[in-house]
Amino acid sequence: MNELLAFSPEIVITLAGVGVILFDAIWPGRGRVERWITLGAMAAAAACAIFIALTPGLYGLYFQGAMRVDVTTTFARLVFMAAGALIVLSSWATQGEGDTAEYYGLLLLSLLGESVIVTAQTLLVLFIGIELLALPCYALMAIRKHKPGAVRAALKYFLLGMFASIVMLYGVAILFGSLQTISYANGLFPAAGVLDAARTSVAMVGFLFLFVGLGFKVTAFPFHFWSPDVYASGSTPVVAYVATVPKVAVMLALWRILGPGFGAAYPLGQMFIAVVAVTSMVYGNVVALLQDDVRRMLAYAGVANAGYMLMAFVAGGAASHHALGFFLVVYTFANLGAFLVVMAMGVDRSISMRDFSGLGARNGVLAAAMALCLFSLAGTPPLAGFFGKFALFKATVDGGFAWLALIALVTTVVSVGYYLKIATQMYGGIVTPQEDDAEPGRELAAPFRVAPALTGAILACAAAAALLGLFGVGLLTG
Amino acid sequence: MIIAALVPGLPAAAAILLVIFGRRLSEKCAWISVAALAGSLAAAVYMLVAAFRGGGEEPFVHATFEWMRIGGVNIDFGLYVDGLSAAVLVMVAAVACMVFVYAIGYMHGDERFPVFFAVFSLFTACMFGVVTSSNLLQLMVFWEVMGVCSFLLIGYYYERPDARKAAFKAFITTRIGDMGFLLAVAAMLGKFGTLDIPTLMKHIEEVAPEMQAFLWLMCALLFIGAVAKSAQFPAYIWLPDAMAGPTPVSGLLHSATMVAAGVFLVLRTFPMFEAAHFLPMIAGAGIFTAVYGASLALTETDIKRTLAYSTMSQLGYMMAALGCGGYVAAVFHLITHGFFKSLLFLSAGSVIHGAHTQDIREMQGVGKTMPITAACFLVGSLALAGIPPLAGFFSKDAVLASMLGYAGKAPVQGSIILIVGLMTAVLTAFYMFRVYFGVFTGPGKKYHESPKMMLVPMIVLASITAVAGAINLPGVTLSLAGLLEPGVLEQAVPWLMALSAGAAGAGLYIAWESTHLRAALHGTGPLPRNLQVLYGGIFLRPVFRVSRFLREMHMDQIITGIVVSPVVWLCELAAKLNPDVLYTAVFVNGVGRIAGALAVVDVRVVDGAVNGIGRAGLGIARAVGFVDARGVDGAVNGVADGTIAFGGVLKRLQTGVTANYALFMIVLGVAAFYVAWWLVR
Repeated sequence: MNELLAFSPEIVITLAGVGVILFDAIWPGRGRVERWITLGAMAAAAACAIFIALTPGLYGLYFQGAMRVDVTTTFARLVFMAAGALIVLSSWATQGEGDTAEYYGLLLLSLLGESVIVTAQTLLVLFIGIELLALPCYALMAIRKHKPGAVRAALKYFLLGMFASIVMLYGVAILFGSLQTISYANGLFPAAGVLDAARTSVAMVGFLFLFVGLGFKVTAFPFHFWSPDVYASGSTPVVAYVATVPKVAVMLALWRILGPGFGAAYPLGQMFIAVVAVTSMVYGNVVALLQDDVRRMLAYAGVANAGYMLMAFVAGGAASHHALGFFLVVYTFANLGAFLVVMAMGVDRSISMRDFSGLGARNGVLAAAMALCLFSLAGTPPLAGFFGKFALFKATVDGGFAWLALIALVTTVVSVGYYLKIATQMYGGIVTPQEDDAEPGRELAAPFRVAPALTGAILACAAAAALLGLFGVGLLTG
Repeated sequence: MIIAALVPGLPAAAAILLVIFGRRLSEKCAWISVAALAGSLAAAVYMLVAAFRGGGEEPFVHATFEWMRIGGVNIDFGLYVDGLSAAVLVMVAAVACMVFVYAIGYMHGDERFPVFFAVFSLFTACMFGVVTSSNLLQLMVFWEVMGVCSFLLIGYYYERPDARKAAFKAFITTRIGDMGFLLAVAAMLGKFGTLDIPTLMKHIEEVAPEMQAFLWLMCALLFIGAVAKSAQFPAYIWLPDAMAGPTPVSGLLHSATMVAAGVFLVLRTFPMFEAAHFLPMIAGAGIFTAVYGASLALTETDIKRTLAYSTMSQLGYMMAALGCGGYVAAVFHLITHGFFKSLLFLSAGSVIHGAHTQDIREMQGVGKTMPITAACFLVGSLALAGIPPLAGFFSKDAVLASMLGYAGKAPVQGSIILIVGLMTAVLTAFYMFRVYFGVFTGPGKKYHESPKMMLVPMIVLASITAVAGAINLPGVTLSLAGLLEPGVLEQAVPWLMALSAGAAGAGLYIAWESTHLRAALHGTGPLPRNLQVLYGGIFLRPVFRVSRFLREMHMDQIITGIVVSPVVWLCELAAKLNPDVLYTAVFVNGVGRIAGALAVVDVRVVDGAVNGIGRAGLGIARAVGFVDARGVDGAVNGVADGTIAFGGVLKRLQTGVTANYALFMIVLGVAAFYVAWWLVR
């Protein structure tokens, strides 16, 4: 009975996901009802998550230690449901273009996958969660079939995702061979000195392979290659979703696997994560600086942010854990907001920097929200992004990795460049219609209208990106 | 003391006179500079003679007076002339004299003629200042102002974007090196409390055993500065582009002076490098640059850029000689190279003047109608290739002999360096005569021989090049070796001399064959008989292939992207945030100060209220305006190009091909893992 209660959010989501598709089979063409069902299910799941958190005795291990419900789970569930609801709101007007039921159903099922990833306590359940997350995403990516490149992007995503999954599964096998367990209820890797040298080396190879699969999802260099191509041509609300929520899930799961003491016990693994973090930060930020397509730019910014997140694993310790959690939330909403603004600019064409010129005058609300999200991502002081980065950097320095924090700091300065590029376009008033413009007749100065639901979703993201810092202050002092 | 002060003083005074009276005198003003340089040359020769009289035991001049006090530490301003400085001074003054005369002919009709000569004179004064400085801080000040002058000179044709870009690239690249220099100077001031070079060297030799690590670091930092200034790998990137400046600039800056300053810095602080056991690093870096530069020169089609790569290669040679402990050999080669390389640049300028192109593929048979230029270029080429009895042969042989001496101490490294050095000698002869045969021989159009004003300096330099080898003939009492290291007798190694001459001959022969091949392929000459053997892949094809491969790697772009563009980018950011920051950040103490100094002159000029002087003020204002607007523009353009070059490298990863991505994930992932393993090992 406790199992049913503790996993009620997942059960609600599963039922709703399957139900929406069945509903469409019986009463086709009622998209309005379906989106309310979806929203309702998400609200119900969030309510259940809160109920679980408030009821004593429900936290703990379930299914012979295969899954765990705890504070992290609750935290993740709430973030996922909020992000999911924002995605639903953002596509309120456009929906799935006729495939509404599939759109909502797949979205719900992939949310289920994320929940499983965070609750998992063995590598195999984790693998199931990752597949449960990924398969609906592959399909979602191709849902706007008429969009040029969408199917190709989905196929690319699918092939590379499958490749990463296979490598990861191989890594699980190697880890099982060397560690004799796949459960990480008490941390996957034993304390330093328990394993002999040979087993440690094998375990490190297994860790590398496991990391390929997880790194793929969080778009860490060099496992990120799919993201710019897929972001640029996939369906935008789906891209916004894929670029944010799965990262949170996988990062939290990675923390569960490694635990706070991994770095100290396994210097090789620690240095590997540090190398990946540094290359991600440097590569992501520099290449993002060169992009003109905003979706691609955000993709590379995502690579860089994955690097920042990985710093938490290098330093380890409770402070890093808290910083990571906070950074993830802020990143999710700020990034989601930015992607949704791009979506508002146009769904079916690539959005370049120039498209933002004069947006401040054409739609002040949208521009202000975009600016808030970007500055939060860049880590500008009063906004939440600053507190997130600050906490991460501080934890890294305290963990004895000042050099890593220094590199992160320098690359952060670089990142300001491309975030500012958009901001200057929006408010610089540089309206330069070019002769080779794709739509020469487009009025650049005309007011730009956006569907109210989408505006609402964007505003919610911007508010979160700006104001979560209020909680951040508590986090930093506490 | 006064005579020593005249050497840098006269050109500096000339620069000031030119700024004030340049407009009124128009092209006649150049003679002020030439007269000043002739005075410098006379003073330098006087000091050289005096140094010979003293037998090189004691410095001829070592006079200092207090300049400033920093936290209880005295910084002196002074002159220090010993055998090394005197020899280098004579070479620089002679070359500068000739180049200035040449420039009168070359720059004829240029509308900013006086400005050019003013900056050129100031530059030369700074080079003299570097050579005569008695302490490292003073040396660095001249070194920096020299950098600023070179920025103005390389970017002289500032209406051309490539010249602007090249000037900026040269400036930023050398500035990055200067960071190393500055750090070393600051650290040594803190540690030893003095920057006076002789005192410092003596002190360091005493304390060396206790502080190896610190000294090694200091040497590394100083060497970074020298590498950037002397265009050594990987900081050579600015040198080929710097050819965008006027040819006399290349003839002085990129042969005998600015690039030589890096080598001079190492020479000046040589005891320190020796005490810190840093020399093997220099040897390795130098010999690599030597062979790398020579390989790049092989397939270059621009005549000036070929010479630029050659300069890079020859400076690498000097560094390698230094690293092998061949102090005298390095000085010797520095001096002869200064002569024959500026001769080559001036001859190339003469050809460009006549043929109106820099592409060697578009020139042919120039020798028929420009015989004097051809003869001068031939003398320079023979000297560079190291064909006896020209100067280059003797100095190159001295370099090789020092490598042989090193091979006696460290057999493996030494023999590798010696073999690579000999290979480089073959390549050098080859690329030089590829140019010579290609440009000057064969049938060709009618060209106009250059004016006398350009030919006379070339002839003088050619004569010097022909006999300069005599200054270090073994057994001669008044030799360079006697001047620099009294008591040490240079031993000639006959078989090595034969080998070195043979290497040069081999390169020459291959160039001859390949030129014939080219002619044969174009249907203008008979096919050489042994072509099959040669071209059948024994030598030419792999060599050319390597050269092309190196070229297609776009190493310079990668280096620009990784090293230079981040700095430029930060400058851009600073400029965006606040234009004032640009002056403090980019031009730290260089351009800003010059602009300030010029502004002071400006005020006085306007106060003077003399009509002609007013016009000079206008000229200065223009010069300052140039620094202002073009500097910032250049920064912005530099950023765009640098970043795109870097991005080009990185973007190549994003191929769009799914299979590639999968491969990259694994290869790069394993590479990251390996790096991590290597780091924690």
